[in-house]
Amino acid sequence: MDAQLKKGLLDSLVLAALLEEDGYGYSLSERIGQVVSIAETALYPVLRRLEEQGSLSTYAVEHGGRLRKYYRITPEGRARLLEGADELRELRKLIDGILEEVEGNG
Amino acid sequence: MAEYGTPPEAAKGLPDPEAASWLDALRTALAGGLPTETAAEVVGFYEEYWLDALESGRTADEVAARLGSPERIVAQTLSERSIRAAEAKPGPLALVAAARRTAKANAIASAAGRAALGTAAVLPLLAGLAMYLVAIALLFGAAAAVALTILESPLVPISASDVRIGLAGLALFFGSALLGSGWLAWKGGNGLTRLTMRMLRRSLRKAAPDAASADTASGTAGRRRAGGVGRILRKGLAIGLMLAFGGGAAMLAATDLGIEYLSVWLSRTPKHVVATDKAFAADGVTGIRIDAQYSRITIGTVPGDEVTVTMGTPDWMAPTCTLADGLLTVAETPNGRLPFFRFVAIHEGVTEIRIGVPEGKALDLLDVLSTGSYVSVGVPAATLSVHTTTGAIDLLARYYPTIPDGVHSSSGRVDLWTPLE
Repeated sequence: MDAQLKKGLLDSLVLAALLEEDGYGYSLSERIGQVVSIAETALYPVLRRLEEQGSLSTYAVEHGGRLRKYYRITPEGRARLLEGADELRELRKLIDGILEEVEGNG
Repeated sequence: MAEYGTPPEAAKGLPDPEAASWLDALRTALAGGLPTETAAEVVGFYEEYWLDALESGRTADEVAARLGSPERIVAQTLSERSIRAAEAKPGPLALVAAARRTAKANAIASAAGRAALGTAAVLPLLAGLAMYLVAIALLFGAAAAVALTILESPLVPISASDVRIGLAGLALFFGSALLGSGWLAWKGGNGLTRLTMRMLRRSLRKAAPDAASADTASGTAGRRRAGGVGRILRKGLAIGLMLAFGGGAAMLAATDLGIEYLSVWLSRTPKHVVATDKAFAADGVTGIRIDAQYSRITIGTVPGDEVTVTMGTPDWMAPTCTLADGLLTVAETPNGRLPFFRFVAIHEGVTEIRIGVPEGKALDLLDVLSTGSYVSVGVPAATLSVHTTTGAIDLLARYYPTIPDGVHSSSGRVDLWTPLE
């Protein structure tokens, strides 16, 4: 798949996983893992990227004598996700169109 | 099998040896490749991941299998970072670094463990490196052209103002031409670097379709746009080069030096041949000394009682023909008109020096020194000395039954010659 598109989709996926509830690294990988199978190691760069662009903010929570880093979606992140959702809907129409053709003629 | 269900109070110390060794390997692989701060964050993330995963009931083997090898994560990261760096700031070093790191990442990712960039990446990579080499050579050439002119200028007579202007013109003309083409070649190298980076990304994706890394930037780096000052500087340099090129050409064309002298280098043909025709009473000549560059030299007999000298000298050489104390000196020496190409402006086969000696006259001394071309000796001399570097030497066998000690050609033949009766 096109790397650029894939990166964009991963970003949206991570943002969406944080919509309802904040999460920490491992819990996010579990949440995403339920939806789609991606490499575990794909998560870190996405989180860093989103944090750097201001879509996510982080805070630390003490857990079992250590600090756990939690990620929270920012208003900008929400806006970005909605924007991305519009594009995804367009994309879905396109994909549905293609699949209908393929299946109709298959 | 490692223990799992780690109690929280022990979590700090990473009780699981597999987790600890995985993280150690990550630390080692990251060392030196990433800024310390970034590396520490990457390690922190995975350390937390390990602890949480073990805490949630996964076995160390499961976690390790899901994460994959730390070396692979790091190799992938470094490769992507270096590709991005080379795109943002192309150059030979960035190009090589990106190729090297991608090869390493691919080697780790592929089952065979072999580094593979693919032809699509290797070709532009080699072409790009060649382009950079050409650019560097051209830039050195530009520096050499200017330096040569400065070094040559003291050799030019002060009075020869046209030569001085022409000399400056040559420096400007060649300096700007070489610098300009070097610049363009460098830009070409940059273009090839960007192309190589595209191919490297493709090879990375092919080697590890689902691999991700700790590289945080999204997508390809945009082409770096020069800021306002940089752009003005660049434009200024381009305009300056064009002015220098045009100005240099105009200076060459305006002076006696003439731009056509540039073609001498390519054609080996002088624009003008200066003719010298002289005769000296044979009684007054006891020896002849010739010092020539590339003119064909013939010494033979003539009727009458005069020693004749006929020279055709290219106009970048000054002919001399003087008689002093019985020694006739015939020479051609560079006159400073060809500052750069003095040593390569070969006029072999174009110009000649012909000396006629009356029949029956024997010389005490005949001394010929020639940089190149053919030398033919058809007169007797008590002491004969002939030295050429590249030309052949023919001696008339009637006067020289054997080759005298003083006759030598560095890379040509020496023959005794008998004319047909």
